[in-house]
Amino acid sequence: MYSTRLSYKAMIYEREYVKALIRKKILETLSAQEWAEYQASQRIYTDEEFDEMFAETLLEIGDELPANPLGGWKPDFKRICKGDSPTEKRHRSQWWQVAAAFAIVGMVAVWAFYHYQIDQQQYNFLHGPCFGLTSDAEISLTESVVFLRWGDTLGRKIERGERGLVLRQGNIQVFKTDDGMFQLRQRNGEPGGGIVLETGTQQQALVEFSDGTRIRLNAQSTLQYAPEKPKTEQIQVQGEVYVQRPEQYHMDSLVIATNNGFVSSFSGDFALLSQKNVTRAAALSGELTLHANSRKETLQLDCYGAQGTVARFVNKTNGEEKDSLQYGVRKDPETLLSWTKAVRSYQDIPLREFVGQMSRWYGFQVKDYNCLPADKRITTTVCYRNDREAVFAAIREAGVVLYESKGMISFCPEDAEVTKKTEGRLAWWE
Amino acid sequence: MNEQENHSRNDPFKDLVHCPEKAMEAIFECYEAELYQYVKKFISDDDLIKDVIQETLIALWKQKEKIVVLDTPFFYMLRIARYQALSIVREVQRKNTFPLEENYDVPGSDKADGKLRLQEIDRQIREITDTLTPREREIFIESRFLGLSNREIMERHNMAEQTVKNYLSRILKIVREGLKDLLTLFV
Repeated sequence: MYSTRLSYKAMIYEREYVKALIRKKILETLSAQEWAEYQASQRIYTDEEFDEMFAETLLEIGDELPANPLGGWKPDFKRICKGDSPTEKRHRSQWWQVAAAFAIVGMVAVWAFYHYQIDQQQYNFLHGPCFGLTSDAEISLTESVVFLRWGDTLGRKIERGERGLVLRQGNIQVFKTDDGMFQLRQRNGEPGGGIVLETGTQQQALVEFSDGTRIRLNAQSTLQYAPEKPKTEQIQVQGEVYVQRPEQYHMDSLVIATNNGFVSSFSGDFALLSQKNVTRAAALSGELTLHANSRKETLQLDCYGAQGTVARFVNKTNGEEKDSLQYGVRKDPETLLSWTKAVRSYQDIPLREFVGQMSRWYGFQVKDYNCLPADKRITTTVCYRNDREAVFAAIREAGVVLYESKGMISFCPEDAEVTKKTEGRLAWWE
Repeated sequence: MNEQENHSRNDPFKDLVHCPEKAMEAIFECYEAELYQYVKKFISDDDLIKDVIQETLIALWKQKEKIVVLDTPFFYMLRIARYQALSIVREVQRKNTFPLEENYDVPGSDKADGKLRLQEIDRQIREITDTLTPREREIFIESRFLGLSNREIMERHNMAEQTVKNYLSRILKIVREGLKDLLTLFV
């Protein structure tokens, strides 16, 4: 019997051990480890076998089970003896209610649809570069452009019109499909040191691996692929990406390295940001685990909007660098993917975040984000083909003064003086 | 000694033919806790559990002549309850009102530990399935990880349902043996 203490050796191949787990499950005394074993044991017995063990355990527990679990409720024995099903009866009585509700909902739906259409038109650009596009349309992959690098110094730009095999380097082949997607394939051959796909400003690309995993790169992002390296270094990203791992069972986890950590996932979609001292991952479906390079602890992101961050900071007293792991829940996870859309609609998001996204897309630098009021928010719609002036105008409309010069912008009041001295709105900050 | 005290654990089923109304009440009284715990395995909502129990007892009533001659009527009753519970789960799922996955009933702080442990065991199971043939492996994954029913697997692989059952029974035996070998190796 394993009734008192269960071993951590997961002896779930033994029926008595599983029954001890079931017993604990029923009596609600399972520990986290035992919960895992209980779940796993259901995978290695047929449903019938597991049910049999469950039923046997129930009989064995007998008097230990809490009495009157339903608080004195009794079945309707009169109806049972007539063979009258409660759900059928309920369905019948609900039918007329449903029919009446349907008529009302129909009228409301017609009204709502009419108003929704009117609202949508606000995001449906009637003029300009995004004419005809709605806010849910993704940027067409046929516009994908990347700079491919390999070896120490070699590289070339893959233009939007190119198709077919675009690179054969060592044991890697890169194809570009008619749809504009880049496919990475491994082939026999000597390892060639890996490749790097790089997007520039106002560029995006979608990369597909042979197992079906897709990684969409935002502007100014890189994806490094070196299949001969250890698993935690085979795929590395910098910048912003959206990862989609198909809903099929993968025998191996996908591991993507960032600057100060890595994520692993068996299946699901997630958004990933990798900057010099920050990694941020947010689950959109499935689950993933976020690891910091310098820590043993991990964060499990297993629900829609769960977000984890690995931030590197310097300890002021001893100058030591440390990584902190933080967990949070994203209120509006879909905004993380606004950059994949042609028409980007932002509803009441922090202005800092908006400026950060625009700076990645357009390639302008922000002098000091701390000069942007943390509580300022913005609601606006931007076409991905707009020039940056349209974005600056939207920022100003949000009530913030900005100063711009030579590809850099500032929100700091002291820079107003610099622009005055230079007799205009343009200046350069050294 | 009153009539109720005369019932042993299997007795209420014996009365299903001669005194069926009383027997139904006695069955519920005798096995309410077991039925509740069993159905709770599939459904956590008490109102739905009550529905399942009611439906189970109706099905039991309709088959009373058959049940009375069984050796293990309790197990048969649970099988009916399982069928009823899964029907309700499927119906509710179609309406998308609650997730199928089981409630995670351990303290929140230990949740990550449990998930990690489950991943670890899953990894061990995956290692073992490397020794299976591709078809066996596929069937195993579809059944135990993707939650497909035997019927769905049967249609996918164009084989008889019994063949799927045979496959699964053989595969699961291999996996259990493999786990045993793997774990005793490190003891």
